[in-house]
Amino acid sequence: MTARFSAIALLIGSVLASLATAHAQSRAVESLHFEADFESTDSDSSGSTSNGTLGLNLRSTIPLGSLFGTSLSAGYSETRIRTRRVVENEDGTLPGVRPSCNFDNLNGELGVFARRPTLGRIAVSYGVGRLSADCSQPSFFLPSGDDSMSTDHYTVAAELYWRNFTLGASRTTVSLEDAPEIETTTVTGSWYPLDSLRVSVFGNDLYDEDTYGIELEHQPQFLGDGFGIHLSYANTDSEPRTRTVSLGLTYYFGRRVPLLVRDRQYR
Amino acid sequence: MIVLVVILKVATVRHVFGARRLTAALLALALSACSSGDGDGEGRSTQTTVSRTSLSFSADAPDAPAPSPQTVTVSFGDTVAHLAVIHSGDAIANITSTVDGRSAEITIEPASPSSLGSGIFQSTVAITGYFCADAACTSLAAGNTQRISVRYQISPVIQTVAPYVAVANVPGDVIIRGIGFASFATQGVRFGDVAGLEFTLVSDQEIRVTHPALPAGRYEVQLDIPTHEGTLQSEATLVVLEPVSYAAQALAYPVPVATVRELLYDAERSAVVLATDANGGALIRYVHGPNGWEAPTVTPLAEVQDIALATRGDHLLAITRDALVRFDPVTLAASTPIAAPSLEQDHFLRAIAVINDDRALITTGTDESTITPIYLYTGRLASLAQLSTALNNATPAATGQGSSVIFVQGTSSTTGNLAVVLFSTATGQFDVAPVALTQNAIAPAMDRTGTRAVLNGTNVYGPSFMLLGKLPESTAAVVLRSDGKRAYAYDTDAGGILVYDVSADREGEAYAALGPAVPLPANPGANPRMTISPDDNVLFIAGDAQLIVQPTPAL
Repeated sequence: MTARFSAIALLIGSVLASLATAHAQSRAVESLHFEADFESTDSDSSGSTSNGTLGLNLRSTIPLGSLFGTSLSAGYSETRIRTRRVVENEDGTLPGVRPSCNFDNLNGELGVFARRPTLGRIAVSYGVGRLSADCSQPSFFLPSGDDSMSTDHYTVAAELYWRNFTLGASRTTVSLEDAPEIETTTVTGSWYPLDSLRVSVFGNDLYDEDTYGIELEHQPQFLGDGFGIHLSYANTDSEPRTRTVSLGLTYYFGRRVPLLVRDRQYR
Repeated sequence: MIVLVVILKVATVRHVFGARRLTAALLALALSACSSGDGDGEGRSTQTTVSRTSLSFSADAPDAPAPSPQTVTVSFGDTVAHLAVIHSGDAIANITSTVDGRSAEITIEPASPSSLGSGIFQSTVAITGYFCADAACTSLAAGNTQRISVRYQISPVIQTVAPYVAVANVPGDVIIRGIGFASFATQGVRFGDVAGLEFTLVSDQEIRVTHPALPAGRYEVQLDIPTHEGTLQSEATLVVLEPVSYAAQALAYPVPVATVRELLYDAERSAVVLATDANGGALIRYVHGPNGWEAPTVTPLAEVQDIALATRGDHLLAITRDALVRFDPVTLAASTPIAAPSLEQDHFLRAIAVINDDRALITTGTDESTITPIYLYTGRLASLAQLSTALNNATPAATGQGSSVIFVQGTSSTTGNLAVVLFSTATGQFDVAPVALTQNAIAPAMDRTGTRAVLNGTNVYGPSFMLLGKLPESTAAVVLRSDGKRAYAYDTDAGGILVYDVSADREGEAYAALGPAVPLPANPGANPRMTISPDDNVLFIAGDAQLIVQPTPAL
C-alpha cells in the first residue's frame, strides 16, 4: 500500500512541478465541453451469475480560468442479473419460473482539476451514488440491511502527458454507508497511435485483487469527430474470475476536435 | 514507481525510445503496479459459504401438514455488499433471512403438500454475494454462488384395499385406493413380502392388482417404487382368511324383532351383525367361536336404519334417522354420532353403501315419493356432507370391491318407474342407467365386480344393464356369488334356497333353478334380508323370526 501512495505522490509531484514551471500556453479547458455516453457492459463471474448493464452517463467540463477546470458528471445504469444459470437443473431445465433480480445505480460526481495540456493534470473529485436492488426473492444490501445502499467517494488523480502517451494514476476511497472504506489505486497507460484512437491499459487493486484490462476508444473522423466508440475488456484475478466487456457510444457536443485534443484540452 | 519516473525522464530527455517500446514499458508498469500491492488475496474476501449444500424435506401424504422449515447459515466475506437469495422450483414456498454481522440465517419453508400433490420436487437455492465492481462502486459484480439443492418428497398414500378380506390360497382381484399413485413410477405391488401379480395403474387414486394365493394372515399392502425413499404410509391391510364351513343352523333372537333392516357378515371376526327395530332400535351381534355360535349381544341404537362395514373393516357404520354412528366392530362401542348436516325435518337417513375409498354413500327418504339429497361419509375426516345429487327413497347396493353402487328408487306411492342410478367410485359420478323400475322390498344385489345385478329380486342384469333373465316372483331375498355366475334366492314358495346359473343370457326369459330347493333349518320369518360370506360358502338369512345360517348349495 505504501508503494502505491509513493507512486501517486511522485506522479502528482511531477505534474505539480511541471505545472508550476510551465510557460503560459493552452488553457486547462479550452471551452465548455459536454458529452453523453451510452454504455453496455457484460460482467461474467465463472460459476456464478452474469450481469448485463445498460448505462447512460452525462459529463461536462467547465473552464475555471486558464489553469483550472471543473468536471460534473451524472449517470444512471440498470443491471439485470442473469439467474438461470445458477438455479437450473443439471440437465439444463429450469424448474418453475426464473427468478428476477435487478440493480440500478444513480450517481453523480463533482471534480476540480488543474491542467497544462502539454504536461498533465491533477484532479480531486467527490461523488455520491445510490444502489438499489429489485429482486423477486430475498435480497439485501449488507451495510444497510435493506434493498438500497448509499455510497460516497473521493478521488485524487494525476496524469502525465508526453507526446502521444498519457500515464495516469488515481486513488479512490469509497464508503458504503456504515461499512469500512474501500481504497483503490488505479494505474492507466494510454497511447494514441492516431489522434482519433486511444489504446489504454489499466489495472487496479480493488479489494487487493488484480484487475487489469485494455480499452480502445475511437473517434471516427467520418462521423465528424462528434462520436466516439469505446470498447474495453477487463479481467479480475480472483475466485471466481470475473471478466467484463463494455461497449459504449459517446456523443460530443460542441467543438469537433480529435480525440487526443479532446482528452487533453476539453475533457 | 521510481523506476517509472526514471524511465519517463530518460525517454523525455533523450528521446531514445520509440513509441512501441514506450507503450510496452507502460503496459508492463501498469500490470506490475496491479500485482505489486497486497495481492496475496489476504485482504479481500468476496467468498460466500453455506453451512449445507443440500436439504431434504418429506411429507407422508399429500394431505399432511407442511414439513418444518430448515435453516442454512450463510457466511460472507467483509467485502460482500449485497446478498441475493434466489430459488427456483416448486418445492419451496418461501425463503426468509436474518442478518447478523457477516452471516445470515436463511430459512427455507417447503410448500404445502396439498398444493403440490405427491411426487418428488426439486428446487435450487442460489446464494450470491455481490461486491463493488469499480473503485467508485457504481456497479456490482458477482462473487461466487453457493447452491443448495432441495429435494422434497411427498409420498403417495395407500388408503384402502377392497375388498379387504380374501380367501386363503385363492388368488383374487382387488382395488387399491389412495392418493398420488401416478406421480411415481410404480414397479409392483406387494402384500406383505409377497409380490402381487399383474397390476394396472388406473388413475392417481387407483391401482387394480391381482394378489397371489396367500396363506391366512394379515398383509400390509405396499408399492414398489424405486425412486421413493422410505416406506409408504399404508393404511391398507389385506386380511386373508381360511374358508368357513358353518353348519346349517337357526339362531334365535335374544329380543323380539319385528323388522330386520340389514344384516352383514363380518368375516374377519366371524360375526353376524343385524340392524333391527328391536326395542326401538338395536344391533344384534352373533359371533362364531371355537364352540359354535355364541350368545348374541344386543346394543341399543334408536331408530337404526342400516349398517355396513367400513372399507377397511375397522368400523361398523350405522345410520339412524339423522346421524351416522361409528361402532367398534368387536365391542360395539359407539363413537359420537355425526349428525347429517342440513337434513330437513321430514327427511331421514335411509340406507348406506360403502365404497372402496373409505367413504360411503347414504341415501335419504321421506314419507312421500320425492327426491331427497344423498350424503357422503368420509372416513378419513369422519365427516358427513350433503351432495347435490338427490334420489327418491333410494336403496343402494355396492359391488364387493366397492367400485360402483347401484341405486333403485321409489316407494309404494310412486307412479311410473324411476331410473336406476349407478355411481362410479373411480369417477365420483352418478349416471342414469338405461333401466327404470320402482323398487320393492327386496334389496338389490351385486356381485364382487359388478358383472351382475339383481334388482327387485327378479331382474338379472348383465353388463350395460342388459336384462339377462328373470327369477321367480316368489323370491323373497337374493344374493350373488362373488363371481356373478350364481344367484342364491330364498324362495318362500319353494321353502328354501334356489340356485340359478345367471352366467347365461336368457334374453329376459325366466331362469330355471339348478335342482330342487335346498331347505332351510327353519323359517327366517317375514321381510328377510340375506347375505353371503366372502368365500361364498355360507348364506345368512334374517327375517322377523330368526337368523338362519345355511351352507351355500354346491351347485
